[in-house]
Amino acid sequence: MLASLRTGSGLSDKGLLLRWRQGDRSAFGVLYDRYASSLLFFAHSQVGDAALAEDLLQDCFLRLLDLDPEQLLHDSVRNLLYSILRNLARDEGRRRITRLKSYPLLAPSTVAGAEVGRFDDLSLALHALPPEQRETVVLKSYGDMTFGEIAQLIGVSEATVKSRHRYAVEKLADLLGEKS
Amino acid sequence: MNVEKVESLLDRSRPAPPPSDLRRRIFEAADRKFPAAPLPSRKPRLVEVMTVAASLLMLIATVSWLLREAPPASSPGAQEAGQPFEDRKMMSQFPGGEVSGFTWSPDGKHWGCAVKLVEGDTRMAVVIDGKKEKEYIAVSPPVFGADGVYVYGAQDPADGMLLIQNGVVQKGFEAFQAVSFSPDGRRLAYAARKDGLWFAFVDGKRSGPYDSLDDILWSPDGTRVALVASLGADWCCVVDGKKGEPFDYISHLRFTPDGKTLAYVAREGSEHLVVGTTAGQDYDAVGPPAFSADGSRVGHRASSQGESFVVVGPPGKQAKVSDAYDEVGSPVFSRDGKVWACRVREKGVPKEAILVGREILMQYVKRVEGKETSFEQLESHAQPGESFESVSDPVVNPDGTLVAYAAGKGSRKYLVVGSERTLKFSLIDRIAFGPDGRKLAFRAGQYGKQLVVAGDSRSDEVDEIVTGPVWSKDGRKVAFTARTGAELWSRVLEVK
Repeated sequence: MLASLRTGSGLSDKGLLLRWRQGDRSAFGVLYDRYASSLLFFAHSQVGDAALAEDLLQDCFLRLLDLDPEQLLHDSVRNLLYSILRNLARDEGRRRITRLKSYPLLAPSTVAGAEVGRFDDLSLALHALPPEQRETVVLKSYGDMTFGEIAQLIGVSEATVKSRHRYAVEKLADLLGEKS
Repeated sequence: MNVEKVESLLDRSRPAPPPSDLRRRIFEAADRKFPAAPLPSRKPRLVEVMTVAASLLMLIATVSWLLREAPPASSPGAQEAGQPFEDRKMMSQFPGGEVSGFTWSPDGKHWGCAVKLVEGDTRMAVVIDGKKEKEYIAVSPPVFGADGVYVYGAQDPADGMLLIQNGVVQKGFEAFQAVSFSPDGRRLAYAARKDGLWFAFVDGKRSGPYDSLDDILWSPDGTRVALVASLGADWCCVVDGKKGEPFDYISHLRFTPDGKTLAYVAREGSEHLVVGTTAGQDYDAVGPPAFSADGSRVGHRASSQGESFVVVGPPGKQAKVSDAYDEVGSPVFSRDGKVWACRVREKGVPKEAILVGREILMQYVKRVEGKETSFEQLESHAQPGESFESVSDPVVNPDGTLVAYAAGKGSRKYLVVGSERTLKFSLIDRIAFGPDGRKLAFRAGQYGKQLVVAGDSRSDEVDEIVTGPVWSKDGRKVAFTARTGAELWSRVLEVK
């Protein structure tokens, strides 16, 4: 609710990129604040290493800034960021055998009161999911992407994304049920 | 834990903020890679000088207007959810960044929300009536009681989790949850964890401990409090301190509309709905129960062997009333419960439709050895409507003669009333029948802007309809909260 109310400007992502290109350095700050949390969570959940995820996020933003915003007229900047970050994470995975060192943490969002223990359990359970199911849940729940956008990003059908999401939620229910 | 609980938990969570030094690191890297080019300097042209002068005059006029003595606030005609029926600007410049959980107090005199502070990077604060409160690492949106009383949760690096009531901090607990005021806003209940054990606090009185405490629910008249809690492996409902029957797990706690009876979904291997002391049939999974306004019918989705279907009937006598589908939404009822509707996803095809069920008194004739006897039987007949790529959850008018929902493909959404497609927008949601049960109000979106449509009336287009639309009791107006840029407005639309 009221998610798009932001200080700095009501500019679109592309508008912010254009402003940054024109010399307004604060425009990048607004863009960073819009997506850094969810992108970092996504990267961390992909590579299982907090430090590596931070490096990938930095690389991701630098690659975005290198692009000409005029050429992004028909692309969502958010989806583009996820696409860049996903490719970076996959490249990293191909370069070396990644081992799970850590998993990203969740915090309460719009609840009355803070259920710290529950959110810790959810973070852990998310990491116990098969990678493709975890990716779908993370993109849907924390990337605010539609099933269609996720399907386009990862190159599978929307029906596949939906079924992965359903299985993931059911698996989470089982995992969290054991902790209840 | 069931699927609904998981979805709720996912909805209520967000990624933890990134480390504060990461922002600086990335900004420095960006500055190194893309050094800022100095902006070309040139002499201003006459038209630009004139424009700057005009802007200064406008700024002085605006500041004078803002500093003037505020007129006495008109008495808001507070309606459902506290949405006031008054046209006024609430704020000119919002004091923060991303906002969540915007809410009105029940009397419509106060408003609040949680704000992520862009300048502070990872800091958040609650804003009440436009004033920013103390900053924390994380805050939950405020919950209002009566007379402007409000509470919210906050995370402090030194003191841990805090519960804050009108600026007064409650310390010493590891976590809080299920914070809620009684319907009259006079009594406060919440769950708090200390040394790994959960306690319930109602009017400041402690009960417990419990191993887990999932939910706290006030009865509609505010005289009773029900908890869902666990001790050891058993979960049970606790009503006014008395423990109920133990189960493997309990979810979806509800009071019946008259507030006299408690209903919940119990798991004991399989799941079933319990209303009072009556247990419904067992299924693999049972969705949240919904009651008709008169309490005569209850319904829920259920699934067995991978198929989902609708279960409806008088409490304690509910039965399967639909075919099997891939997915089924929660049913909604007409006032007398004789008409119900819900969203269904068809088996094996990516299509959704609204299923409408009606109770019909069937007359049968039975022949036994040439002798005919007639008898009547009440039956529920369900019929799916037109299929779409997606449909919203439906709304049913009180007399059950109209069902409305949003349906469409991709970004094209139609308002469907009965079986007719009517208006088309890119966004249609928050659909509500007016008091006459005929006119509809909803939030609509087109070309990146939002508006409220009510009957034949349309509001101005704004950046965002934050809350509402809410119908007035006489059905002549709808009220809503709107944002344009950083301005917040309380708005009223006359309904034609």
